[in-house]
Amino acid sequence: MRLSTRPVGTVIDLTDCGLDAIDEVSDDPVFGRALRIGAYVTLGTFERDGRVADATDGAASCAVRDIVGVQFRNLVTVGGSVCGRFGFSDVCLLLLALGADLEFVGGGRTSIEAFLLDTAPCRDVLTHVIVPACPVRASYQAVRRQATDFPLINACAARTERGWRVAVGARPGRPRLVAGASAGGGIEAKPATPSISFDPTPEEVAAACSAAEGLVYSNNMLASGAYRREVAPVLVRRAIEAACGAASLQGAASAAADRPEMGEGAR
Amino acid sequence: MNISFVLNGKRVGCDIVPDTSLFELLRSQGCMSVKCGCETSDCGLCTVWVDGVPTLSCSVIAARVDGHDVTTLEGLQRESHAFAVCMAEEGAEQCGFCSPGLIMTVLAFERELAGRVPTEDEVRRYLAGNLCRCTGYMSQMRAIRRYLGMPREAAAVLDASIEKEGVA
Repeated sequence: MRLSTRPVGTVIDLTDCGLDAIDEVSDDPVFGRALRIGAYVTLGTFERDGRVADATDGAASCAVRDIVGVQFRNLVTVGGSVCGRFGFSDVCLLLLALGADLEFVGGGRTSIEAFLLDTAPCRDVLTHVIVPACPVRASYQAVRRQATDFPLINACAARTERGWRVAVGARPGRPRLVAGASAGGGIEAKPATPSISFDPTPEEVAAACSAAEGLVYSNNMLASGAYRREVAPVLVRRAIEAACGAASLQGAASAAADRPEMGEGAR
Repeated sequence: MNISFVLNGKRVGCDIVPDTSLFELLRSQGCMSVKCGCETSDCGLCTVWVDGVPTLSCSVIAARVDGHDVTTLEGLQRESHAFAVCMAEEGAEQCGFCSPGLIMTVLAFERELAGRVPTEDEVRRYLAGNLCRCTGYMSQMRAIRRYLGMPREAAAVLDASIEKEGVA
């Protein structure tokens, strides 16, 4: 509303609906232990909350701390970030990699993966984002032309007891999984993506990087599609390495040597 | 529509047009410290506290503060004096337009620190949303280091390295 000229007839303030709380539950029907993050939780709270830090291995703070400024993040909400479904959204990327679910007033519970794949306008009201509260290793990576600007490409890798999920965003299209997604119909038929074992092999990392190269990239004022295609696999590799610790990435150095086609540009 | 809120410790009742921004409302109430430096929610000049939390007043619909507590620099004159002196002694402003927003953010940061001395990186990250067209931030950083008790030795080394490498 601030930046557009679109007329808005009615604005309903939901700040007194109790949606600004973060609750830890142990009986979530899907995740068991989970964080229920109210849609009105600000990115500032999301950034500083210790439970969110534990559930995201600190990736939540990394994902949002470069968004404009503290004052801005004290206004922007998790729900607003999710429902906007903007391609550059650091929050959507992080939640996709974590395998989060969403709760809507009308539509009930759905995965953020399905919500991001859905191209229909959202006419529902998001109430909660549900994140598994299990042991996790995660890493968020991004490239920005300048501080506090939108990312021109970003990636996030998360390893939980359910396995690895790796996603790329700011393509400039919406974030997409490049590892850990299962094949399915739903809104849009999608192929399975490579799976990664708990301690990734070089071949599995290379497959995830290759899947990142295979996404659709296009141009906008921040970067060209070709540049994004070149950089995305590098961020995927860095995110996986950072999430599992480089020492535990089997043969990481030899994997890099085995892929001379990655070339200088990809570094 | 009628709203009622606490502004700098005093209860205020207003009849506003529904799409009035908090920025417009505060200036209409005489809080001229609140400035607008952009139209994109980026510059931080309009920073005020809503319930003690630093917020961009240009991006808040005034109706949302009904029943809440708003603080501008006009309500922090005593609390801001020491930092204002640091800024003046370090030559920390040129046009001064960004200063109220910067002071509001620094004081909010100080409250969050609760006595802890921050690192250089923490200061720069927290103030990333306060832009200044005039200064290059060197003088403000000197003032902030003094005010928050950050080591002068580290500051001197950092300033020297920046001068050497020409990096702001």
